[in-house]
Amino acid sequence: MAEVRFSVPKQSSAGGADNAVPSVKMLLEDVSVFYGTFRALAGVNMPVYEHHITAIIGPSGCGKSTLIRTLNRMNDTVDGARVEGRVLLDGEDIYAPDVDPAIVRRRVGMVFQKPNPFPKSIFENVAFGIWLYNKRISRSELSDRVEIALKRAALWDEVKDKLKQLGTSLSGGQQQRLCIARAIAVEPEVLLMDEPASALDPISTMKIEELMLDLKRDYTIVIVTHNMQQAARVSDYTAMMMMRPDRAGELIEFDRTEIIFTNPKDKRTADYVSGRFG
Amino acid sequence: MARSITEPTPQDFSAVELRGDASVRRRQVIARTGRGVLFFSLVLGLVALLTLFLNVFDKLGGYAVYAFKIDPLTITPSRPLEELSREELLALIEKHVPEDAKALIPEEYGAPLEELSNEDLVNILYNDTPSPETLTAKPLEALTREELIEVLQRNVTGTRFEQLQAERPLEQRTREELIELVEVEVLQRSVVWQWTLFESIFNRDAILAEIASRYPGSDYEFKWWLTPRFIASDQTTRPETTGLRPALLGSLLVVILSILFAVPIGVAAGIYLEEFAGKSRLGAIIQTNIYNLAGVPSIIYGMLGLAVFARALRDFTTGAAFGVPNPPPNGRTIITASLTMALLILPLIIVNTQEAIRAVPQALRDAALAVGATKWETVWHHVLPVAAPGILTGTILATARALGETAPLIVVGAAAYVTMDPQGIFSSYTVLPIQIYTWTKLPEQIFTRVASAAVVVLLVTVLAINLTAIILRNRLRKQI
Repeated sequence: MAEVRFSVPKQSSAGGADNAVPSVKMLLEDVSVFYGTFRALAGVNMPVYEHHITAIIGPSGCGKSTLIRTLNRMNDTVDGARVEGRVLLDGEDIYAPDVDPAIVRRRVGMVFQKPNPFPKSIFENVAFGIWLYNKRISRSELSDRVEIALKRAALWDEVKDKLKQLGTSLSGGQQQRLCIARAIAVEPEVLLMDEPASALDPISTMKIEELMLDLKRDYTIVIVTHNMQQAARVSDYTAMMMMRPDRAGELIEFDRTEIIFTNPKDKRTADYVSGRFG
Repeated sequence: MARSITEPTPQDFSAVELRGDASVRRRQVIARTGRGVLFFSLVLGLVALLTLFLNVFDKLGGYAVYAFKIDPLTITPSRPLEELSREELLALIEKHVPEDAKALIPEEYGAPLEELSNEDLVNILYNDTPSPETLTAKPLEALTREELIEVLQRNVTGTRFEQLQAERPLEQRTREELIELVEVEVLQRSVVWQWTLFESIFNRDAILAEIASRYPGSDYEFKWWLTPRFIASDQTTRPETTGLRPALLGSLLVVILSILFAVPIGVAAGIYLEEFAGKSRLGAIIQTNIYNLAGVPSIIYGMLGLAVFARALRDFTTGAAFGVPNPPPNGRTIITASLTMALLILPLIIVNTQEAIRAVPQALRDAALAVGATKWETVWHHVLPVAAPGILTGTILATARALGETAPLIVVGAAAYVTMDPQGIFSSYTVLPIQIYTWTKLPEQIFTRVASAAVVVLLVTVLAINLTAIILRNRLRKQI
């Protein structure tokens, strides 16, 4: 593997001739997020590389979740939230005035910290998103696509005989994989995962991690995690965030994961990943 | 890092005794006292509730003494004395004229009884018996069914007779039922005195002795007021025959209509406020006002209903605008009452809908939005189904509120005396609480017993509605 530039590329380099530098799927340009007058995120510049896993790490309250929710406009649902700067998806600003947030979220799916299946059947959980964007879909095609999504999420074998059961009746790990199936059923390009395994036991966590490694062939994945080992195990790139004295979160270092964990430029990163604080 | 605080040594821990620390004992005393006060409050509340129930139940039944207001013999068929044979006249004199009067006959008429003319015999009967007209009357029990029906036809007023026919044609009733009907309707068999339920249960012997001494020979029985007949009958002016059906149907119509008006509007407004309105100054003002409206005294809604629905919109609420004949005066119709009641429960439904929606976890909305659903799709497919049990429960509770509410309907004009069922939404009406109020106000004491029976009906209905709400809520919650 060749060295990757530490500095953030200013322009999308998608389709670049350099094989070693993957194309940029999403790009944050000087992104600040405000909740009312409180600045939660200050001037973040960061790329998200296509078909790679980018981990966001950092101590509690440093704005990791705010950052990841900025990538698919989930922060729109928070009263008084405001985003400055540009968030580009394939070179297009998703916060441009004429952009429909529903379409952004369809292209940039999300899995949340706590498994949150709909209180409906397993089938309906996965089918809802598919149906939203193709309301004339035939029953058999819908079934096929639900099956594909569930297989992709490595859940099919466990639930194929009980698709009519409530999604909420599954175990925590299965629920989270159901949520992943639901997210990938609409065929997004980017998959955001906000601490997807923090509520799960080690075996379920391991399954989710294996799944992520498998999914990265088709999707671009961004994951927030508190678990250093997890970031080290699954991610290709790591963004290290910290809270400034004014409590705004900032990105202090972004690099290939092995560099962040073995030879970080910033001392605070070194302290954090080695467990000396945070 | 310098440590300025010394760490506790094992001796420090063992110095604390397990019992006998005065300050801890005092805290425990406070804890026990507090618990006692809470328990006492609970007991006080339960006792108050129990007293209320016992008071109502006490009036529901008990030993009742009856009297006829009219002598039965005056209404049964009889033959005029002039048409009787000599033997019959002599027999009647023998039976009904007192011995001392009989002894005076030869002196008065100048001949012994056997030698007097028929005319004189009739005169004797007229002069020396207390009620000569009824001497030949048949006792009620001896009448045939046809005769009983004839008695009813002759003595019951036209409208009441129609009411009775409508309940069940007289021809289909048994002889015993007809006798009972004559006793109640014609002879006005009325309760002259009734003991309470608990007296009747615990003091039975004393009551029976009192009946024997104060009302000798009177008819008496253990009478319940809450009977199927009472619930199903039309209203009349007499406690023995009056019924609850017009009030029951009136309540039912008013409540159903007000729910139909208030629920769609209230639920829609609640959804909008909670999901779409966002946070703004105006929104906060509206929200505060809705909370306040939910607490406005109900009589004020009555004033509003009177001004708007009964007066300003009279042509519509009486149906005059739609060509309904004979509209009730002053807009005192079911529709006026329903609209007023709808206004009253509207804020309750809005607030309840908001609370039900607020209880839906944000994670669910996030989940739907994250697969690309619009706000509307999120609310419609995921928030509302989860909030539905809560919305439903609140609606049912609002129904119970509407059923028991009295004050606004006094103002918008529920009628006190309605003998017939409501004939439609433009009909005059009465409702259960108003009916109860009217009965308790009447001078005839025994009407308070009727009112108690109606209270039980109202209470049971309201409790049943609330119970339904609880069961539904639990069942729907379980499904999720």
